[in-house]
Amino acid sequence: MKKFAVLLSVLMILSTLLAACAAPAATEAPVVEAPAAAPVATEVPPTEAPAPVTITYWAFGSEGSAMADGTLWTDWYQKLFADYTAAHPNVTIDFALKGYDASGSTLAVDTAVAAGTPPDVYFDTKFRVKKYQDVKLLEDLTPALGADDLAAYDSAAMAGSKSGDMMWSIPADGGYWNMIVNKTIFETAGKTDLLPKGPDYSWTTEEFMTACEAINDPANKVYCTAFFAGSTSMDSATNEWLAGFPECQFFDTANTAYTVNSPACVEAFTFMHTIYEKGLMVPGAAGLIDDTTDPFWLTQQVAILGQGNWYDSITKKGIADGFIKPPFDYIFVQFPNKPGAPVTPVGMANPDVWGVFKQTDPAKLQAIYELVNYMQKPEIATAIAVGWGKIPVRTDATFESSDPAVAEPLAAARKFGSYDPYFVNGVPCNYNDVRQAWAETRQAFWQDNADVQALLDGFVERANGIVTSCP
Amino acid sequence: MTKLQVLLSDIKKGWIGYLFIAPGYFAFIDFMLIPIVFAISLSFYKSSFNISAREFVGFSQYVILSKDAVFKTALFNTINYALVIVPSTVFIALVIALLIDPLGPKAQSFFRGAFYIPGVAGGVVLSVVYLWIFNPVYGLLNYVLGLFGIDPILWLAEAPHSFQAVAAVVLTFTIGQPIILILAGLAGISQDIIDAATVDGASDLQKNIYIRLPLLKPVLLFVLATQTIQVFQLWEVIYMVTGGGPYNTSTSLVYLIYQTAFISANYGKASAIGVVLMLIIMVFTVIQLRFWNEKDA
Repeated sequence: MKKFAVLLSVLMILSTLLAACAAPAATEAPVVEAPAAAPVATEVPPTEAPAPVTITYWAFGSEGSAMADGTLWTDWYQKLFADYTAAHPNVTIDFALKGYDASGSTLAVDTAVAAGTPPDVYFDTKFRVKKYQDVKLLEDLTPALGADDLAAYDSAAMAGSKSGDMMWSIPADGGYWNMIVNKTIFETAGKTDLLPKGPDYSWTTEEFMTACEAINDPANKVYCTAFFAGSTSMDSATNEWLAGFPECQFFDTANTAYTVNSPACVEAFTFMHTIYEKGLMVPGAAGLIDDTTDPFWLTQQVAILGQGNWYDSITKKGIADGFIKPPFDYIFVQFPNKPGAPVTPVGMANPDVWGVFKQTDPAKLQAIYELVNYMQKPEIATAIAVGWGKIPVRTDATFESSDPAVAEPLAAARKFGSYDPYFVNGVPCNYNDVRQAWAETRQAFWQDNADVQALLDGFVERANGIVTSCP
Repeated sequence: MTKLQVLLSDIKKGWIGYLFIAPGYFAFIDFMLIPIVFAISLSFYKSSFNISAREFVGFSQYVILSKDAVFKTALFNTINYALVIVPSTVFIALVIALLIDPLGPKAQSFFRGAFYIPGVAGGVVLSVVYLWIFNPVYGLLNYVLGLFGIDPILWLAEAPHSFQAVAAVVLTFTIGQPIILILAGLAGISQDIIDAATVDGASDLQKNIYIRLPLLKPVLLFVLATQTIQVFQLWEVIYMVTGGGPYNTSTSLVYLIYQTAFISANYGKASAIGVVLMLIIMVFTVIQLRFWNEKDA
């Protein structure tokens, strides 16, 4: 009995010590810089069998999340990787979908990074991947692309994936958003004559306001529009309204400074605050988030919203699942432009990108480059884009869609150009901190008697302070 | 013999007993002591995702905190939450327990369960329910207020209503345990004392104030201490209901730790906030324990 007890105690102490000391070792390993310009298609001599490589590939999404056509993302990726590994027998791909928590943070990836066990390849939105670049954890992906690939990319989309000459990510797709209008509400009220007409579907801020006031009926719980500022999530839904005020620039890339307090931006936000002051929007914007705004659209209590492709997708799902009863007709229109300004370009949402975490093994890095190169080819990137209800950013992608949620914004984007709600050329560092400051500013903005100029000045001062503290 | 020698001698004599409690100690060391020591040490570093690449900055994080307006707001809110929620919880729980206590066993069981169930459901589940209750347009609360001619209130979008909303949710799920504890305390009061007071002509109110309340002091102090610690660690309700907004008017220190560590990836600063919070809780706890000990003496 005594021997058993002694053995048990020794085992317990050992296991505890091992558990406490196991994790950090991986983080201490020195990082070996990748060869600066390793060619993608490096041929391995036929006599040498390539060493086995396991690549960890994480993409955002939760278990059970599906593509636009209903195929599970997991199934799609597994099939794709099965084909890839069949052609590359030395490669094993350890794939997982990693979802966000409610605030949109990437806790799973952050925890893995802190533990020294990040994935090799991470596919997520540009801003989320960028935060790892801010702390110099990503590889330069220039060697992953051939000259023909580089030439094929939309230059604006590619510029956003670079810091100087370093390509810290490769964009797969972009979401082009314009306004969605519940036509049924306007038909019921007999006000369809106030809506923008084709083929451009554009309107001025004055025309918008006329339609908005005509359709707004709070007594019957019908609101013209809605905004939300309760969290950092989907702040582009507010920023895309700035597109109708062309002189307003959220961020000045050339001078690395936030400029959203300029007179043009103050004019834009003053216009938006008029919507609030006139009671033309769902009350409580400062406390609403994107998820709590959705029910107002789905229950036909709000007539006009930004983020058209998102509301289109949830409406279709609602009709398919049977909790939305037709009639529920809607159309896409442009955001209102201030009188005299050109037709508003289409808001380009946060693109999804590939990023690769720093590697210690050059051979493995080479295998990762090859995998990323395979993924970004037009056919696969297009499939990913369509799966997310977005459009590919490679100009050589064959992309046609009969879905108005995709086809109409794309047609408008091609005609009027696209507008990046934040940055035309690159993303400044520490953007997550700036987004937090921006959410707080918007929460203060959606209050009675908000001093627009003072609020924007306060944000710009805070945001520029964050930018200047960048490493 | 020194104290250490006495301890070692005790361990030698009763080592099998110590062996049985060892798992608890190891768990405490692994999951509490080591993380606490690590967090304290991390508060003296500038650190992001890659913790191994941290840079020693001395007391810089604390200096930054002393000038940080958001931190000051979170600290003020946290103390405010404690000052509002803890006395409210104790008072309401006491009143409810005094009302339930004279009831028969079946009715008592029903009310115990009814008040305890929200605590079992947890803050996250309740928060989701309250999100609907607080909805500005179709929420239950504004509907009920409307019946009395009161205009709709933007519970989650305006200060100070967001603070009140968080406090209301927390009150709902923290009140069950104090009721159970106070009921147990009431059951421990000898019926002889109550009977003696009745013979002396004391009213129910007098019995509550002059007999039950003084005899419940140990229970009430325990409830006060545990509730204070719980409220200082307030996080999930804020995360679910207001996100700390609008413009940080409902944020708390623990929520700020979460934001600083997991949104901004500033682990050093987050650790410094954690250390400050730990010191505040320690001070409160020591004061309460002193008070408790005085009463015991």
